[in-house]
Order: sequence, then C-alpha cells, then structure tokens
Amino acid sequence: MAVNYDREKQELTRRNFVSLSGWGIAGIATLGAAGVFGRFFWPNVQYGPPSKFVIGKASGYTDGVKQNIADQKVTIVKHGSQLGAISMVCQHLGCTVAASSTGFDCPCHGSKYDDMGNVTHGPAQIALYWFDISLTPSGDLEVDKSKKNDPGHYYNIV
Amino acid sequence: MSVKLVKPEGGSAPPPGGGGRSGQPGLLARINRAIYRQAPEVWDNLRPATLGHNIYKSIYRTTAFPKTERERSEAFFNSFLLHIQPAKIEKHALRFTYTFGLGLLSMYLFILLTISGLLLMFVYVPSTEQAYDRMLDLRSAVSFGGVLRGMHFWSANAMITVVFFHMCRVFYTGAYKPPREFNWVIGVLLMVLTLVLGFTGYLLPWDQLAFWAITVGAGIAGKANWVSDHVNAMAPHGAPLMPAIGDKMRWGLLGSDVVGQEALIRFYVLHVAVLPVILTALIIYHMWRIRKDGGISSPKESPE
Amino acid sequence: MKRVREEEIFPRNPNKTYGLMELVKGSSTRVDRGPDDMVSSWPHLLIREAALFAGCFAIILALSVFAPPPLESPANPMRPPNPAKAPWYFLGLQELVAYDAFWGGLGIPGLVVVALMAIPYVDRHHSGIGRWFAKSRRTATTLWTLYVVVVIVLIIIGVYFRGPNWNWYWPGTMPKEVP
Repeated sequence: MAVNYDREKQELTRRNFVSLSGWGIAGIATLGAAGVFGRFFWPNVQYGPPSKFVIGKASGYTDGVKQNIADQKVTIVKHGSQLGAISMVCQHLGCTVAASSTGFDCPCHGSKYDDMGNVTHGPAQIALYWFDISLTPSGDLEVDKSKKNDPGHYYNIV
Repeated sequence: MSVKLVKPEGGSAPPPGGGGRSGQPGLLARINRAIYRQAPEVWDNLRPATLGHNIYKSIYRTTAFPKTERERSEAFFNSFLLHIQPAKIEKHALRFTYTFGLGLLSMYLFILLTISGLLLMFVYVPSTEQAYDRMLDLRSAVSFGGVLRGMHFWSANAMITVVFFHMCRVFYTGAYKPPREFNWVIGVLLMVLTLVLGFTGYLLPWDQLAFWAITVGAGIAGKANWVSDHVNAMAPHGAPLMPAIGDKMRWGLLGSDVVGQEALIRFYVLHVAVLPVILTALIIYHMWRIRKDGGISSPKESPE
Repeated sequence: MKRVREEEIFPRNPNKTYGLMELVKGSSTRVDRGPDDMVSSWPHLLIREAALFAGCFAIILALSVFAPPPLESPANPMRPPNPAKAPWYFLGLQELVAYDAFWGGLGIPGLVVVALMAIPYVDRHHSGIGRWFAKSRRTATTLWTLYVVVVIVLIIIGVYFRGPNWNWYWPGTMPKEVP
C-alpha cells in the first residue's frame, strides 16, 4: 500500500499572510505570557541555609593544617598570619571533595586539586573557589559563601 | 423483554406480605396491584436475569462471547478500551517476532508504574526528614510495601530497557518512514520523558544514591553556562549580558543553591503529577497516530 | 465520472441482481480468508495482548518479591560515596561527563536527541519497511547498530569498569567502596 503524497499548493496570498500574522501575534502573546509566568519557579526568596556563617576566632586554627568545616563544605587554611576559606564543592558537577595528602580529590568523576585548589587533574576545569572572610563586631571571623574568588584569596590576620 | 399478562382482579395467590386478613388486601398488595395497573412490566424488569441482562446491555451493547465475524468486529467497535485498535488486523502484525510486543509492553509497564506509584504515595512523605524513614517503613511496617516498591523499581528499570528496544525495533524495520515520521518524533520525546521520570524518581528515597545522583544531575544542568559564556564572549562590548543560563536552570531545578528540601518537593511534584500527565497524553497521541498513519508497518508498504 | 467509466468496462445487466465489480490477480479464489490476509482482532490480537500482560506482570512480580530494590544509607550531604554512581541507565552519560561536563552532559545528549528526531526526515526512502534488517537499508542498519553499541559500551564501562575516584579498574580488581 504505497502512500501518495501530493504536496498541496501553498501560496502566500495576502489573505493567508494576514491570517498567519494574526495567529502568529496571538501565539507570541500567549507564549510570552506563559514565559513570564515561568518566573514563578524562581522566587525571590532562598529557603536553603544562609550563605554566611561564623567560624570562630583565628587563633583557633593551626598553621598549615586543613581545617574542615564539614557541614558548610568549607576548608579553612592558615599560613602564618594569612587565612583563607576554600570551597569543597567540586567545580565539575558539585560533589563534595575530600582533603587528601596532595590537596583535594573528588570521588565522583576523579577531579584532583592541589592544596591551593588549582586543578591538577580533570575533568574539572576551574579551581576551587575561595570565599570572602570578614570580622564580626564580636571578633569572630565570618565566611560569606556568596562571594567567590580565585585561589590565593588570603586575609591577613592582624 | 417479556411482559406477563396478569389478571387485574382476583389473582391466583395473594402477593407476599399482603396483610393476611382475608377479603381485605394489605397495603403492599394494593401497591403491587397499583403498579400492575399502571406499568405491568415493572416486576418483570426487576427479575434478576432480566435486570442483569439490561444493565450489561446498557453498558456494553455487544455479546461477551462473539461468535460470528460481525459480532467480533462489534466487540472492538463498541468497547471503549478496544476501539482504539482495529477490528481486523493483518496477520503479519500479529507475528511475535516482528514487534516482540515491545510498544505494548512499555505501556503495560507504565500502567504498573502508575498503579504501584499511586499506592506508594499513600505512604511516602516528600520531606528530607521523613522520606528515608518512610522507605524503611515500606520494608518493615507496611504490608506489601516492599513488594510495591519492588514493582515500581523493576517496572521503571524494565520500562527504560523496553522503550529503548522498542526504538531499535522501529528503526530496524524501517517503521519510522513516511507516513510515520511524526510518530517517531513523539516516540523520541516519550523516551526522553521516561528517562526524566527515572531521574526525578531517583531522588525521592533520599538515600546516598539519590542525593548524589541529583547533585551530579543538577551540576550538569549548571553546565549550560557554557552557552551564555560563549554568547557573552561574542557580544560587542557594552551590550547587555546574557544571564548565566546554567545557574538559572540549576536553581530552577533545585529551587535553591543546594540539594535539599526545595529540590525534593520540586522533584516530587514533577515525578508524581507533571511528568506522568504529560507522558500519558503523549502515549495516547502516539497510539492514536498509529491508527491514523495506517496501522502497524507492514512489508506490503514497500517493494523489497 | 468514474462510475460512468466503470459501467463502460463492466456493462450492467438490468435483469441480474449481481454484476462484475472488479478483476483481481490471483491463482485461485480465497476461501475463509479476509481480503489482504486480515484476521479478526477478536480473539487473535486480544489473546496475545492478554498473554503479554500476564507474562509482564508475572515477571515484575517475581522480581519484586525475590530481588528487592536497593536502598543505600540515608543521604549525607557531607560525604559522597566513592565512587558516586548514577542509576545504570545514566552511567553512559556519567562516563561522558567525566571527560567534559558540558559536552558530555548537555551538548552530546542534546545533539543525539535532535539527530534521533531528524532521522525520519532525512531517511525517507521507501524501502525495507516492515522487514527486520532489510538488505536495501544496510547503511542505516549499520549506523544504528553502531549507535546502540556505543550506548551499551558506555553503560558497561560505567557499571563494571569504573571504581573509586572514577578510575579504571578491570573486573575483579575493583576495590570495595572507599569509606
């Protein structure tokens, strides 16, 4: 049973053009309205944990030891008077990296980072973020995970 | 339908429950007689055999045991469930080794998934604190809970496999060629939706596998930043920058920056309501198109 | 118009209640067979569909009773399992993702889906419909088989050859999960 195709003669007459534009405008308006409504899924409120958290006083950290703040996925490193906060979220696909003797290793897809968070082995392509640190009035240090910086973003502890 | 002729007065035996006093008929007997006078067939209609037959006929107008060709055709035309299928079918289409029943099998698995999934919804709570405990309860505290979860799990895995094999069958037999092009496109969409349903369902037990699979999945969505990064790199200086589309997608999927309660409720609603409804609609359309595109493909359609 | 021509070919005899309608090629008349090799869906189709459902249900039920689904330890956002593997049907994707996140996770899968949808608009030649592995479609069959093999090989690599840190391990040498 062969199927016969005779292509309909499709001409763009003035009448067809007006009709097409009408439908087109109605369609674009509908899609636009639906698209704007899509903002429903991006509310202006964040239900997750706050991005800022207090890590205590600088004196509580030992020189050269990677201090892991597990529930915030942040590692604090201290070199002399310098302090940094390294993100432990893998830049590849968001797994949590683990501190190792060479730096940080990701168990999900095998990315490796050195002690500074620079990539030494793919598939990750960007270095781990370093977060902003600030001093609260009480003298404690506060890390802000929403402020992301390149490796080596140390703070001098005076 | 038969109508029994009854003598209006002085009938044979007094109707049951009719008082008992002779000469004076009781209330029930008088109602009985009144009904006979107005509509003599009422009592006949209430005879069990007649009533059953009439109810059956009102629902389904064909015999349940069709014998002639005409009755067999009518059995398909008149049945709601069967009418989407042809009353006559080519012998070639019935050969098991032609289709291996894969398309129908994937629909059966979807039905099993819907039923077991609906039942699981009675127990499951989409909350990060309760979800995992409910999984344990299904195993230990709910009768048949483990079996139902097993059916949902195995049907899902089987459906993904069967849908892929179905696609291979359609390709190897050239069944996607005109006039069936668009049904193949719908089929590709159905396969993608099946995979997405598998993905969203994976988060719900809130175990380690669930959590990290979704973390990675959301991370992949975030990689769409590649597109906006490249667009922005090509844009002339000072032009408005395209927002980081991957971050937007990731946030839209998770409802937050991290995989947590917001992600769970979003995946839950997608898994139990949004995606199944879309999938059901597409399955119906897929099947409707099989008929409209001339039924299942056949070697008669092309010269070898 | 057509009717008039038909009457010219097979003139009608008004004295007869029957007439010649059509000439059909064939060696003999077919008895007890519908036109075009058709059979009644009832019961031929129905019985097969019912049997398929019974078989499908029985296998799923047996699997769910004798092979209960896995459930790992509760989610712990601090500690990913090593290796963290997706469900088997996404392990091919995960293998690709391990090479490049954008192309493996979005670029290539997106292109594959678009390519799949484009197939019937590219390959429109009306041959080999309704036959498995028709000889006239050898190129198409080969290409598709190649695609299937790639998908299956990627999944097998992901399931059986990838261990902790997504390193390559030969089967048998796979270490237990690193805690």
